[in-house]
Amino acid sequence: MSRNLILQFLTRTYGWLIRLYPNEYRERFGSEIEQVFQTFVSEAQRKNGARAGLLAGLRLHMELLPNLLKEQVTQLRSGAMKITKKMALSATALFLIAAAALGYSAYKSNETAVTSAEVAQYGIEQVYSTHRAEMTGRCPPDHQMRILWWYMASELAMPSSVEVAFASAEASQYAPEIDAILYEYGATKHQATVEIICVPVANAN
Amino acid sequence: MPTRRQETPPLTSAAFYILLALVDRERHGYAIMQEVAAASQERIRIGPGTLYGNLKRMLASGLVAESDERPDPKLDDQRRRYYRLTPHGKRLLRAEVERLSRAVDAAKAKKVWAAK
Repeated sequence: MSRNLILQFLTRTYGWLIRLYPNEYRERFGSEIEQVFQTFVSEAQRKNGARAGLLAGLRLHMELLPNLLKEQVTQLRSGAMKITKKMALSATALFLIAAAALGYSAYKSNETAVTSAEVAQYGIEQVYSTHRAEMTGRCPPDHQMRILWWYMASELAMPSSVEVAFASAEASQYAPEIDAILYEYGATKHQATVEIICVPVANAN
Repeated sequence: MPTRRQETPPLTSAAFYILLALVDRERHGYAIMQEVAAASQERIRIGPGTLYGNLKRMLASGLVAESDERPDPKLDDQRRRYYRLTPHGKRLLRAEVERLSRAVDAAKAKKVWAAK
Protein backbone atom coordinates (compact mmCIF):
# COMPACT_ATOMS: atom_id res chain seq x y z
CA MET A 1 0.00 0.00 0.00
CA SER A 2 1.52 3.36 -1.04
CA ARG A 3 1.88 6.24 1.38
CA ASN A 4 -0.70 8.25 -0.53
CA LEU A 5 -3.17 5.47 -0.12
CA ILE A 6 -2.39 5.38 3.59
CA LEU A 7 -2.99 9.12 3.77
CA GLN A 8 -6.30 8.72 1.95
CA PHE A 9 -7.19 5.96 4.36
CA LEU A 10 -6.27 8.17 7.35
CA THR A 11 -8.38 11.01 5.96
CA ARG A 12 -11.27 8.61 5.65
CA THR A 13 -10.84 7.20 9.17
CA TYR A 14 -10.58 10.74 10.51
CA GLY A 15 -13.89 11.48 8.82
CA TRP A 16 -15.38 8.43 10.53
CA LEU A 17 -14.12 9.65 13.89
CA ILE A 18 -15.71 13.05 13.28
CA ARG A 19 -19.01 11.28 12.70
CA LEU A 20 -18.79 9.97 16.27
CA TYR A 21 -19.12 13.50 17.64
CA PRO A 22 -22.53 14.51 18.99
CA ASN A 23 -24.83 15.63 16.17
CA GLU A 24 -24.99 19.28 17.16
CA TYR A 25 -21.22 19.56 17.49
CA ARG A 26 -20.58 17.70 14.25
CA GLU A 27 -23.01 19.83 12.29
CA ARG A 28 -21.41 22.99 13.62
CA PHE A 29 -17.70 22.09 13.49
CA GLY A 30 -17.40 18.79 11.58
CA SER A 31 -16.55 20.19 8.17
CA GLU A 32 -14.10 22.71 9.67
CA ILE A 33 -12.31 20.00 11.66
CA GLU A 34 -12.05 17.88 8.54
CA GLN A 35 -10.76 20.83 6.54
CA VAL A 36 -8.11 21.63 9.15
CA PHE A 37 -7.02 17.98 9.22
CA GLN A 38 -6.63 17.87 5.46
CA THR A 39 -4.72 21.15 5.40
CA PHE A 40 -2.47 20.10 8.25
CA VAL A 41 -1.60 16.72 6.75
CA SER A 42 -1.08 18.04 3.22
CA GLU A 43 1.13 20.87 4.55
CA ALA A 44 3.22 18.40 6.54
CA GLN A 45 3.50 16.19 3.47
CA ARG A 46 4.43 19.11 1.22
CA LYS A 47 7.14 20.38 3.57
CA ASN A 48 8.63 17.14 4.88
CA GLY A 49 7.41 14.34 2.66
CA ALA A 50 4.77 11.62 2.78
CA ARG A 51 6.16 10.05 5.94
CA ALA A 52 5.73 13.35 7.84
CA GLY A 53 2.20 13.62 6.49
CA LEU A 54 1.45 10.12 7.65
CA LEU A 55 2.81 10.81 11.14
CA ALA A 56 0.92 14.11 11.33
CA GLY A 57 -2.29 12.32 10.34
CA LEU A 58 -1.76 9.66 13.00
CA ARG A 59 -0.98 12.29 15.62
CA LEU A 60 -4.18 14.16 14.84
CA HIS A 61 -6.14 10.92 15.16
CA MET A 62 -4.70 10.43 18.63
CA GLU A 63 -5.40 14.06 19.47
CA LEU A 64 -9.03 13.83 18.38
CA LEU A 65 -9.97 10.80 20.49
CA PRO A 66 -9.87 12.34 24.01
CA ASN A 67 -11.68 15.44 22.74
CA LEU A 68 -14.27 13.26 21.10
CA LEU A 69 -14.85 11.43 24.37
CA LYS A 70 -15.00 14.74 26.23
CA GLU A 71 -17.69 16.07 23.90
CA GLN A 72 -19.67 12.84 24.21
CA VAL A 73 -19.51 13.03 28.00
CA THR A 74 -20.56 16.69 27.86
CA GLN A 75 -23.44 15.73 25.60
CA LEU A 76 -24.44 12.87 27.91
CA ARG A 77 -24.38 15.20 30.90
CA SER A 78 -26.43 17.73 28.99
CA GLY A 79 -28.76 14.92 27.92
CA ALA A 80 -28.99 13.74 31.50
CA MET A 81 -29.93 17.26 32.51
CA LYS A 82 -32.54 17.31 29.81
CA ILE A 83 -33.81 13.92 30.96
CA THR A 84 -33.85 15.20 34.52
CA LYS A 85 -35.81 18.23 33.37
CA LYS A 86 -38.17 15.99 31.43
CA MET A 87 -38.53 13.75 34.46
CA ALA A 88 -39.22 16.76 36.64
CA LEU A 89 -41.84 17.97 34.17
CA SER A 90 -43.34 14.48 33.95
CA ALA A 91 -43.35 14.17 37.73
CA THR A 92 -45.02 17.58 37.98
CA ALA A 93 -47.58 16.54 35.38
CA LEU A 94 -48.18 13.24 37.19
CA PHE A 95 -48.45 15.10 40.48
CA LEU A 96 -51.01 17.47 38.98
CA ILE A 97 -52.94 14.56 37.49
CA ALA A 98 -52.79 12.71 40.82
CA ALA A 99 -53.86 15.87 42.64
CA ALA A 100 -56.70 16.34 40.16
CA ALA A 101 -57.69 12.68 40.60
CA LEU A 102 -57.57 13.03 44.37
CA GLY A 103 -59.57 16.22 44.14
CA TYR A 104 -62.11 14.49 41.92
CA SER A 105 -62.14 11.55 44.30
CA ALA A 106 -62.68 13.89 47.23
CA TYR A 107 -65.41 15.60 45.23
CA LYS A 108 -67.00 12.23 44.56
CA SER A 109 -66.60 11.34 48.25
CA ASN A 110 -68.39 14.51 49.11
CA GLU A 111 -71.03 13.53 46.63
CA THR A 112 -71.33 10.16 48.37
CA ALA A 113 -71.35 11.96 51.68
CA VAL A 114 -74.24 14.06 50.44
CA THR A 115 -76.00 10.87 49.44
CA SER A 116 -75.27 9.42 52.85
CA ALA A 117 -76.65 12.56 54.42
CA GLU A 118 -79.81 12.12 52.38
CA VAL A 119 -79.83 8.50 53.38
CA ALA A 120 -79.38 9.49 57.00
CA GLN A 121 -82.62 11.38 56.81
CA TYR A 122 -84.28 8.07 56.40
CA GLY A 123 -82.39 6.55 59.26
CA ILE A 124 -80.24 4.26 57.20
CA GLU A 125 -77.54 2.83 59.32
CA GLN A 126 -75.24 1.13 56.86
CA VAL A 127 -74.40 1.60 53.27
CA TYR A 128 -72.33 -0.86 51.36
CA SER A 129 -71.03 -0.41 47.88
CA THR A 130 -69.80 -3.57 46.38
CA HIS A 131 -69.79 -5.78 43.38
CA ARG A 132 -72.38 -8.44 43.06
CA ALA A 133 -69.81 -11.19 43.49
CA GLU A 134 -68.73 -9.80 46.85
CA MET A 135 -72.19 -8.95 48.08
CA THR A 136 -72.21 -10.25 51.60
CA GLY A 137 -73.59 -7.25 53.42
CA ARG A 138 -75.96 -7.65 56.27
CA CYS A 139 -78.45 -5.14 57.58
CA PRO A 140 -79.30 -4.72 61.23
CA PRO A 141 -82.50 -6.33 62.54
CA ASP A 142 -85.79 -4.63 61.51
CA HIS A 143 -84.19 -3.17 58.43
CA GLN A 144 -84.96 -3.66 54.82
CA MET A 145 -82.19 -4.01 52.37
CA ARG A 146 -82.39 -1.99 49.21
CA ILE A 147 -80.14 -2.62 46.33
CA LEU A 148 -79.40 0.03 43.80
CA TRP A 149 -77.92 -1.79 40.94
CA TRP A 150 -76.01 -0.28 38.04
CA TYR A 151 -75.64 -2.57 35.17
CA MET A 152 -74.42 -2.52 31.64
CA ALA A 153 -76.33 -4.39 29.00
CA SER A 154 -73.16 -4.55 26.97
CA GLU A 155 -69.61 -3.35 27.33
CA LEU A 156 -70.28 -0.31 25.18
CA ALA A 157 -73.56 0.69 26.77
CA MET A 158 -73.89 3.44 29.34
CA PRO A 159 -74.69 2.17 32.83
CA SER A 160 -78.37 2.00 33.71
CA SER A 161 -79.76 1.59 37.17
CA VAL A 162 -82.48 -0.46 38.71
CA GLU A 163 -83.49 -0.22 42.31
CA VAL A 164 -84.56 -3.44 43.91
CA ALA A 165 -85.96 -3.57 47.38
CA PHE A 166 -85.81 -6.69 49.42
CA ALA A 167 -87.73 -7.53 52.51
CA SER A 168 -84.89 -9.14 54.31
CA ALA A 169 -81.83 -7.77 55.96
CA GLU A 170 -79.44 -10.25 54.44
CA ALA A 171 -78.31 -9.72 50.94
CA SER A 172 -76.75 -13.06 50.29
CA GLN A 173 -80.08 -14.92 50.40
CA TYR A 174 -81.33 -12.84 47.47
CA ALA A 175 -78.51 -13.71 45.21
CA PRO A 176 -80.69 -15.93 42.96
CA GLU A 177 -83.03 -13.02 42.31
CA ILE A 178 -80.16 -10.75 41.44
CA ASP A 179 -78.86 -13.41 39.12
CA ALA A 180 -82.26 -13.51 37.47
CA ILE A 181 -82.22 -9.75 36.93
CA LEU A 182 -78.72 -9.95 35.54
CA TYR A 183 -79.87 -12.63 33.15
CA GLU A 184 -82.92 -10.66 32.14
CA TYR A 185 -80.93 -7.59 31.26
CA GLY A 186 -78.23 -9.58 29.60
CA ALA A 187 -75.48 -8.27 31.81
CA THR A 188 -72.80 -10.34 33.38
CA LYS A 189 -72.28 -10.34 37.09
CA HIS A 190 -68.99 -8.54 36.91
CA GLN A 191 -70.40 -5.72 34.84
CA ALA A 192 -72.86 -4.79 37.54
CA THR A 193 -72.14 -2.58 40.52
CA VAL A 194 -74.47 -2.87 43.43
CA GLU A 195 -75.05 -0.44 46.24
CA ILE A 196 -76.69 -1.94 49.22
CA ILE A 197 -78.48 0.29 51.61
CA CYS A 198 -80.23 -0.69 54.76
CA VAL A 199 -83.41 1.15 55.50
CA PRO A 200 -85.26 0.79 58.79
CA VAL A 201 -88.54 -0.95 58.13
CA ALA A 202 -90.40 2.04 59.57
CA ASN A 203 -88.99 4.28 56.79
CA ALA A 204 -89.05 1.70 54.02
CA ASN A 205 -92.22 2.95 52.42
CA MET B 1 -12.71 37.45 56.64
CA PRO B 2 -14.40 35.89 53.65
CA THR B 3 -12.25 35.78 50.55
CA ARG B 4 -13.60 37.37 47.41
CA ARG B 5 -14.32 34.76 44.82
CA GLN B 6 -12.29 35.02 41.67
CA GLU B 7 -14.44 35.94 38.68
CA THR B 8 -12.91 33.49 36.28
CA PRO B 9 -10.67 30.49 36.81
CA PRO B 10 -7.19 30.57 35.26
CA LEU B 11 -7.26 29.80 31.56
CA THR B 12 -5.71 26.62 30.25
CA SER B 13 -2.60 27.09 28.13
CA ALA B 14 -4.54 26.18 24.99
CA ALA B 15 -7.35 28.64 25.75
CA PHE B 16 -4.85 31.39 26.57
CA TYR B 17 -2.93 30.97 23.33
CA ILE B 18 -6.11 30.68 21.25
CA LEU B 19 -7.33 34.01 22.63
CA LEU B 20 -3.87 35.47 22.14
CA ALA B 21 -3.88 34.32 18.50
CA LEU B 22 -7.03 36.35 17.88
CA VAL B 23 -5.86 39.62 19.47
CA ASP B 24 -4.49 41.25 16.35
CA ARG B 25 -6.88 39.88 13.71
CA GLU B 26 -9.51 37.32 12.97
CA ARG B 27 -8.29 33.92 11.90
CA HIS B 28 -9.63 30.59 10.71
CA GLY B 29 -8.98 27.31 12.54
CA TYR B 30 -5.79 26.28 10.80
CA ALA B 31 -4.33 29.79 11.13
CA ILE B 32 -5.12 29.75 14.87
CA MET B 33 -3.26 26.44 15.21
CA GLN B 34 -0.26 27.89 13.40
CA GLU B 35 -0.31 31.06 15.49
CA VAL B 36 -0.56 29.11 18.76
CA ALA B 37 2.50 27.07 17.79
CA ALA B 38 4.42 30.22 16.76
CA ALA B 39 3.47 32.29 19.84
CA SER B 40 4.43 29.46 22.19
CA GLN B 41 7.69 28.89 20.31
CA GLU B 42 6.41 25.47 19.22
CA ARG B 43 5.96 24.39 22.84
CA ILE B 44 2.22 24.17 22.55
CA ARG B 45 0.72 22.49 19.53
CA ILE B 46 -2.98 22.02 19.48
CA GLY B 47 -4.89 19.81 17.10
CA PRO B 48 -8.36 20.32 15.63
CA GLY B 49 -10.01 18.41 18.50
CA THR B 50 -8.58 20.70 21.17
CA LEU B 51 -9.02 23.80 19.04
CA TYR B 52 -12.70 23.32 18.25
CA GLY B 53 -13.52 22.04 21.74
CA ASN B 54 -12.14 25.33 23.07
CA LEU B 55 -13.78 27.42 20.36
CA LYS B 56 -17.13 25.85 21.13
CA ARG B 57 -16.87 26.87 24.79
CA MET B 58 -15.49 30.30 23.90
CA LEU B 59 -18.34 30.93 21.48
CA ALA B 60 -20.84 29.83 24.12
CA SER B 61 -19.36 32.16 26.74
CA GLY B 62 -18.99 35.07 24.33
CA LEU B 63 -15.19 35.26 24.39
CA VAL B 64 -14.94 34.84 20.64
CA ALA B 65 -17.41 35.34 17.85
CA GLU B 66 -17.63 33.97 14.37
CA SER B 67 -16.96 36.51 11.68
CA ASP B 68 -19.93 37.26 9.45
CA GLU B 69 -17.79 37.35 6.36
CA ARG B 70 -17.37 34.14 4.43
CA PRO B 71 -14.19 33.37 2.48
CA ASP B 72 -14.21 33.92 -1.23
CA PRO B 73 -14.77 30.46 -2.73
CA LYS B 74 -12.24 31.25 -5.47
CA LEU B 75 -9.50 32.16 -2.99
CA ASP B 76 -10.27 30.13 0.09
CA ASP B 77 -11.91 26.89 1.26
CA GLN B 78 -15.61 27.48 1.80
CA ARG B 79 -15.58 25.25 4.87
CA ARG B 80 -13.38 27.73 6.70
CA ARG B 81 -14.91 29.96 9.33
CA TYR B 82 -13.14 32.98 10.75
CA TYR B 83 -13.16 33.85 14.44
CA ARG B 84 -12.51 37.12 16.23
CA LEU B 85 -12.01 38.16 19.82
CA THR B 86 -14.94 39.93 21.48
CA PRO B 87 -14.52 42.82 23.99
CA HIS B 88 -15.37 40.33 26.73
CA GLY B 89 -12.67 38.00 25.43
CA LYS B 90 -10.17 40.86 25.43
CA ARG B 91 -11.03 41.75 29.04
CA LEU B 92 -10.61 38.14 30.11
CA LEU B 93 -7.32 37.81 28.29
CA ARG B 94 -6.05 41.05 29.87
CA ALA B 95 -7.08 39.79 33.32
CA GLU B 96 -5.27 36.51 32.67
CA VAL B 97 -2.13 38.32 31.54
CA GLU B 98 -2.24 40.43 34.71
CA ARG B 99 -2.69 37.30 36.82
CA LEU B 100 0.26 35.62 35.13
CA SER B 101 2.29 38.81 35.50
CA ARG B 102 1.57 38.93 39.25
CA ALA B 103 2.55 35.26 39.49
CA VAL B 104 5.84 35.99 37.73
CA ASP B 105 6.45 39.00 40.02
CA ALA B 106 5.82 36.81 43.06
CA ALA B 107 8.25 34.23 41.71
CA LYS B 108 10.82 36.94 41.05
CA ALA B 109 10.40 38.31 44.58
CA LYS B 110 11.20 34.87 45.93
CA LYS B 111 14.17 34.66 43.60
CA VAL B 112 12.97 31.40 42.14
CA TRP B 113 15.55 31.69 39.36
CA ALA B 114 18.33 31.82 41.85
CA ALA B 115 16.96 29.01 44.00
CA LYS B 116 18.47 25.54 43.57
